[in-house]
Amino acid sequence: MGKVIFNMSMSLDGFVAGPNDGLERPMGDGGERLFKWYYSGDIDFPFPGTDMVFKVSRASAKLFQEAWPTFGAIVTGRKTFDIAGAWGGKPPLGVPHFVVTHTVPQEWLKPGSPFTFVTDGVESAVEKAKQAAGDKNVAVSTASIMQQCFKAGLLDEINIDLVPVLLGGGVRLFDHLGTEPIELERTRVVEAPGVTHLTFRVVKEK
Amino acid sequence: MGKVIAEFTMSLDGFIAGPNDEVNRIFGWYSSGDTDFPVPSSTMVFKLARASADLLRESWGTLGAIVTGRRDFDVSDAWGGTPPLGVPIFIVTHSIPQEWAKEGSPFTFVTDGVESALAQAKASAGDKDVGIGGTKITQQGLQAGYVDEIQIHLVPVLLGAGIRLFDHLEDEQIALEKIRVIDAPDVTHLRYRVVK
Repeated sequence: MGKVIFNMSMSLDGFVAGPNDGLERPMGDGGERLFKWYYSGDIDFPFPGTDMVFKVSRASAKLFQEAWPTFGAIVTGRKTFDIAGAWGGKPPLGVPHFVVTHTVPQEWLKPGSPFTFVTDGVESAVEKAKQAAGDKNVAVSTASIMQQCFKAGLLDEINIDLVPVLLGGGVRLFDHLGTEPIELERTRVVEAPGVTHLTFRVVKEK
Repeated sequence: MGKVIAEFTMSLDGFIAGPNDEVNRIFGWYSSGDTDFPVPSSTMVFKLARASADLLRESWGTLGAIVTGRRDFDVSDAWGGTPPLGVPIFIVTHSIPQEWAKEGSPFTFVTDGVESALAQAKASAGDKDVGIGGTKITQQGLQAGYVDEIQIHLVPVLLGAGIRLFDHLEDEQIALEKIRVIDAPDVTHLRYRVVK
């Protein structure tokens, strides 16, 4: 069985979007800074499943090459799905996407749709994604889903792309997790130009 | 002229102490290694990973003075009467604690603000760097532009609550440049230059 892994770019002060985020400005004020490292390197890296091409450093590209093929399914949220415009029907990594939502968008209920809409909660979505992924890993791609997975004990690993900036305000990644300390084990540090890739294992045994 | 350096141990979720000033968990890396590291001008001996010991020896060796806040002074109980690292320490406060306002006191109390404390510390440090402690002083320093570098000892734990280092920065983006990352067993040492 694969792992459930969260991946996100975060500022040193813990934000994953700048202040005043919304549907029109999903990254908030100045939040685009968090993704600069995706476009600042000299290696062309096509984002699997999409038409996007990143330009990353050699170290980041190597990390992508190792990590991305390990993902067999993605769990995401409805807000991200809407903001991304359903990725034009070509979601990242070209793997099945499980979208946690209250209402199902009818236009994507068609044969061959890469999207499965899950209306009975995050745990159900993760379960379905794990089945679809088989031996591969499940990626969790939004902060709020990550927080819910964390609280339900479903999260195995956290990948933080730590970006050298202080946003000063915005959407905090590690929020709503309660006030009890949560132990992590740092399992990898990859130093790359403009970003530090940190991997943590969630310590579950007490 | 030396640099002004803010140095903190911080949890991955951004706290430098718990809700009641607890630091036991995040300071675990000071005692989890196998290299003895005597703390300058103190009887304390840390047990550090070798990489952490090398880093502290180098970065603390450049400090010529420290500026911190009254809360830090009070919470540490005046560091047992001996200023940390054996360098002059300037404490920003509204009122001077009388028991320490004596001839030969190892502490200098500054009642006319952070910038004054910093100027005095810089004069005292000469060519060496000035370390700053205290979250408020760091936050004011980041906003006023007088912090040159940030050294974070990032600890793999989520505290969930407590005292945040990067708080009250009023939605203002501050650019950093990563200078160095050192991977030690229980902590990741991150050093940044503040881009001005």
